[in-house]
Amino acid sequence: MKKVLLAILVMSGLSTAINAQMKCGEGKCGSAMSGEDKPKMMKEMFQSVSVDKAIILQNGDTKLSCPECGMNLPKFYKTNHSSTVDGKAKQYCSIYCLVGDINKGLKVKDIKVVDVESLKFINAKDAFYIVGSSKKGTMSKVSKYAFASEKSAKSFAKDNGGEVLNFDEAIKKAQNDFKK
Amino acid sequence: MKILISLCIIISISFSNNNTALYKKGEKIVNTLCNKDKEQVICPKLSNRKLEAVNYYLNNIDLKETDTKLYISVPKDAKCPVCGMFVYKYPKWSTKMVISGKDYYFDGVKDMMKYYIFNGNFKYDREKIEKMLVSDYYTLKPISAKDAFFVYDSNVFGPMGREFISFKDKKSADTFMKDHNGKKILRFIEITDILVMKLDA
Repeated sequence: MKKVLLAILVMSGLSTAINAQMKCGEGKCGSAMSGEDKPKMMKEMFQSVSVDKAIILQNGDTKLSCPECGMNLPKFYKTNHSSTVDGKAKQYCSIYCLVGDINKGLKVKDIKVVDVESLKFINAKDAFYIVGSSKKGTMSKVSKYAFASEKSAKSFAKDNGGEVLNFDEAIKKAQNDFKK
Repeated sequence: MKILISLCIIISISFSNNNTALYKKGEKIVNTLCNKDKEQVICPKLSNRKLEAVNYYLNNIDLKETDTKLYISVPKDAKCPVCGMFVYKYPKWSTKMVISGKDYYFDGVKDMMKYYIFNGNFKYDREKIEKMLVSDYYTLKPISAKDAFFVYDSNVFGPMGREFISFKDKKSADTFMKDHNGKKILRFIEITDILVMKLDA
């Protein structure tokens, strides 16, 4: 039923868009210019939390950004990792960017990960990673979410799919994205 | 045509010494692996690292030296307004908007379309949009988003996952769609909020 509804919505969207083609100029046509009064909002990503809920471990002007890829940390908070490199805290958007640093040969110490449930950082070695669930990942097709409690991890996997792995196994999965 | 081309590309002539190696590497790759003709540089499939060097080289050669600059050139500090990502790291996927004379860079068509469509999240006067540019997937040539053909949701993923992949003509879009299991080919005006959000679902 949902699919049919979606198809109808898409079709009607397309037809209005095609009608608008005649006077189409950049910024003057397309979905944003369909003349609806209601502002269009994006669906909130599963990873996102508001800035005041995010724990930021690094300092400086760019502390809200992943030092590796530049992405906004609160926006991808539920996959955030952190490490200490040369005595300084670094906070990554995801395990992908942490692996980026590992692959550069940097000595990353004291690796932590956000517990999806409490939104607090926990030791990555103690975390239960759910790899490959239907919740979208950060910087990877294969999502990786960490939990402090094995029970919570398993119930998340029950709802969203994915397998329970430890940190080292999750790192191996993340390395796959660098092999292409 | 040339005026159009030079308009399409911002040229950063500034060239710092610590990137000389990257520049040299890019120059070498372009001269040995790529075909140059008057209007474009056509390279074989390159690794991301090589592509970064090529992109850097092409963005930094002095304009007087050559007229081969046909890539969307991205400043090193430019960040995608949607996700925050450094755009220069993914030259293959770069897209660009010019709004009230200011340049905005995105790490893919999807994030640019988010910035364009979701007026509740990104508030600015859409009437002030001067340009929307995407990169042709095969040649990296910048094209106006309006002229592009987009392959929707193929098995080729951008830095932000599932994507709209842009092509300068229908023929190359067709070829890509067949080779990479694309769902459909769309024009700019057919891209809706629903289609954009479905890529992230």
